Amino acid sequence: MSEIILSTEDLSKHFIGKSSLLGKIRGKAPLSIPAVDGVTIQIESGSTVGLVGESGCGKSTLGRTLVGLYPATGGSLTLLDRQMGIKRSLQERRLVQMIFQDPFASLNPRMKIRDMLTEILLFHKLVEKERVEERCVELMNLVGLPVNALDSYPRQFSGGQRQRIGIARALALEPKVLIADEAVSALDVSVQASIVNLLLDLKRDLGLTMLFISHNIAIVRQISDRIAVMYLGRIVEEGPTEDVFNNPQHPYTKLLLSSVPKMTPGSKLGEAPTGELPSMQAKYLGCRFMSRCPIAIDACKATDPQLIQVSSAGHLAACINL
Amino acid sequence: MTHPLLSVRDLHVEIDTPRGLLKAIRGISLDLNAGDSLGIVGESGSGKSITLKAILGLLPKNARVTSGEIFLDGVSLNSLNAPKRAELLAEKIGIVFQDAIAALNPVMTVGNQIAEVPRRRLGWSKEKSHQRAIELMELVGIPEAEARFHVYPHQLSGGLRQRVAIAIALSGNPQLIFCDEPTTALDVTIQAQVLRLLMDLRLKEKTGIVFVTHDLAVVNEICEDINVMYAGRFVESGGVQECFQNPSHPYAYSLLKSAPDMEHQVERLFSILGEAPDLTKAVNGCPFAPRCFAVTEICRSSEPELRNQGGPFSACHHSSTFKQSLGAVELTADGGQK
Ligand SMILES: Nc1ncnc2c1ncn2[C@@H]1O[C@H](COP(=O)(O)OP(=O)(O)OP(=O)(O)O)[C@@H](O)[C@H]1O
Ligand SMILES: Nc1ncnc2c1ncn2[C@@H]1O[C@H](COP(=O)(O)OP(=O)(O)OP(=O)(O)O)[C@@H](O)[C@H]1O
Ligand code: SF4
Ligand SMILES: [Mg+2]
Ligand SMILES: [Mg+2]
Repeated sequence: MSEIILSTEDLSKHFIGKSSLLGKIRGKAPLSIPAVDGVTIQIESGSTVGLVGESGCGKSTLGRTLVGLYPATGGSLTLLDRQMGIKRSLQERRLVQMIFQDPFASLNPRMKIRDMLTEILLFHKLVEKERVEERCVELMNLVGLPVNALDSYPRQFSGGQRQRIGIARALALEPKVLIADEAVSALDVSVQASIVNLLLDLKRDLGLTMLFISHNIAIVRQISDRIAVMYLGRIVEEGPTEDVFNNPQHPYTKLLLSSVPKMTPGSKLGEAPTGELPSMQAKYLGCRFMSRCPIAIDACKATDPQLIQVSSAGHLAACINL
Repeated sequence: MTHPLLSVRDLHVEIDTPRGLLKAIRGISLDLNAGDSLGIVGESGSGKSITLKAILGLLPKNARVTSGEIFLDGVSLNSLNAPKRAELLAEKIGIVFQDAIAALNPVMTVGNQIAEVPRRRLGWSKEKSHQRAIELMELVGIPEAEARFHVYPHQLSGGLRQRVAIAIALSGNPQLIFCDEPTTALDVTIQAQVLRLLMDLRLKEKTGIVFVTHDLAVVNEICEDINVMYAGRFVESGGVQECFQNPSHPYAYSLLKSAPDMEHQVERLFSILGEAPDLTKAVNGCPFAPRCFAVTEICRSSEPELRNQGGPFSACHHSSTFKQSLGAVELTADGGQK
C-alpha cells in the first residue's frame, strides 16, 4: 500500500450564523450550520478520490477546509505526516491547491498570464529569476496551451482554455494535492472531455494526488480510483470506484446511482425516492438519511452509524442495516 | 387531412450583435405529433434556445425570424395577428425553462399561480380552477397538494418548485411542452423525479415533449427522437436508438464519444478540438469542417444539406463513409485529434 498523503479524523467545519437581536436578548446560541460534521478519510499518495453527493451536503466546504481556506472547527487534518494547525506555513499552503468551476473569478483580469505566473513563482521562491520564463513555457506545455497564451489576458480565452490557465496556476506552485471543485461542470461536453483527459495525464506524469468534487457522476467514474459519497456533512460510503459503482452498499448511494441517467439503450431511470429532504440545521442523534431511507428501522433513530468495512477490502459504508 | 401538431419549415433567425449580424438559425425544419418526444442537443451557442424562442414568439428584441413558416395544429402563425398568435401558442404549448423557478411569483401562493391560467384564459370559475390546480399539483407529484396550495414558492424545496413550474406549464392543457434544460440546476435524485414525470405525461396524456439539454444520457432516458444541432442547423436527425448506435454525422459521432457514461469507465474520453464557427461571418462549406476528422476538399467548398442518406438523416458529405477515417485518428494521444 502506498503512503497516505492527506488524512482527516472526525474533521468538522461548522458555520456560525448571525443570531437575531431577539435571540441575543434571550441569550440563544447563534445558528450553527454543520456543513462538514465528522469526516474521516485517508487519501493515498497518487490516487484520485471522487467526492459526490447532493447540493449543500458539504463537498465544497470539505474541499476548502482541506486546502486551508476555512479553519476546521473540530477534528484533525494531517498532511504529509504533519498535523495542520489553524494557520499554515507558506510551504504547507503551497502543497494543496484548488481549481474551481469558474477559474475566471480567481484570475486578475488586468494581468497577462505571464505576469500572473511570474508573480506566483517569485513570491514562493520556486525558481530563480533567470528561469522564470523557462518555467512559464513549461507550464503552458503542461496544460496544452500555446506559448503565446502567456501574452494574453484571461478574458481572451474560451471556457476550456481558462480552465487550463487555472490548472497552470495551481501547478506553478508544485502542489502535491490538487482539489478540483466542479472544475469541469460549466464546460461543454467535448471541452469537458479534454480537461478530464488533461487531469488524467497530469496525475500520471506528475504523480499528483487529487480530490475530484463533482455532481457529475459519470465524469467522476472516469477519473477516480476511489469514490466517497457524502450526505449531510458526513461520508456515508467510500471505496474503490468499481466496487462502489457495481456494488453500492449504503441506501443513499443506491438511490443516487439509480437516479443518474444512463447511455444504455432502453435504460429506465430508477424508482422515485420517498420522503422529505432533511435539514442541515437539525440535530441528528441517529442516521441522517433516515427520513428518505427505504430500509430504516427504529434503531436508526438512535444509533449514529459509523463507517465500517462492507463487502470487500477497503469498501466502507455507514449504515447499521448492512 | 391530418397534419402535424407542430410543423416548422426552413426557419431562419438573425440577431443584431455588437460584432455584426449573427445568423443564429440557418434553416431548420421539424414536425411533431401528439405523444412525440424530441431531444435537441448540441454545444453551447449552437442555437437550441433561440430555436425554441423563435417558435414561441419569445425572441429577444434584437432578434427576428427572417424567413420560414411555423404551423401549429395546421394553422400558419404568419397568417395570424400578434394577439391571436400569442393566444394559440399559449393554448397549445407549455414552457418549462431552466429559470422557471426564478419566474415564479414570490408574493403569490403557488396554488393561485397554477389556477391563474384556467381562470383567466379558459374563463373557469374560482372553485373549478382551484380544483384543477390541486389536480395538477397531485399529477406532478407534489405531496399534500391541498395544504400546499396556500404556500409561497420560497417555502418549497428546489425540486418542488420545479414541479410547480411544470404544473403551471400544464395548467392550460397544452398538447406540447417545451423544456429548455429544466433539470440542469437540480440534484440527480430530483432530476430523476422530474424526468419520470415528463415520461408519464407523454404516455398518459399524449403530451408531446421537446427537450433541450447538454446531457445525452437524459435524451437516452426520455426521448424517442433526437436532433443534433451545430452552428444554427440540425446536422443529424433520427431515432435516439438509431443515432446512438449508428451516428451518421461526424459531429454527432464525436459528441457521443465524448459523453462519459456512468456505467463504464474508459481509458480516455474522446474530445473535439477547436471551436464552432463565428456565425456573424459567412459560412463556406461544412461548418464542422475545421474540426472534422473526416474532412475532404468538397467539405470546405459546399455546405451539405440535412437529408436521408440511409440511417439517421445527416448533413454530411461522407455520412456513410466517415467512420473509415477514424482508424488513424483514434490512436492519437488525446483519443481525438491532435
Ligand atoms: N461561507 C458559508 N457560510 C455559511 N454557510 C455556508 C457557507 N458555505 C457553505 N455554507 C452552507 O454549508 C452547507 C454546505 O455547503 P457546500 O457549499 O459545502 O455544499 P456543496 O456540497 O458544495 O454543494 P453544491 O453541490 O451545491 O456545490 C450548505 O448548507 C451551505 O448553505
Ligand atoms: N440576446 C442575444 N443577443 C445576442 N446574441 C444572442 C442572444 N441570445 C442568443 N444569442 C446568440 O445566438 C446564438 C445561439 O444562442 P442560443 O442561446 O440559442 O444557444 P444554445 O444552443 O441555447 O446554447 P446553450 O447550450 O449555451 O444554452 C449564440 O451565438 C448566442 O451567443
Ligand atoms: S442507518 Fe438506517 S436510516 Fe441510515 S441508511 Fe442505514 S438503514 Fe437507512
Ligand atoms: Mg460545491
Ligand atoms: Mg440555451
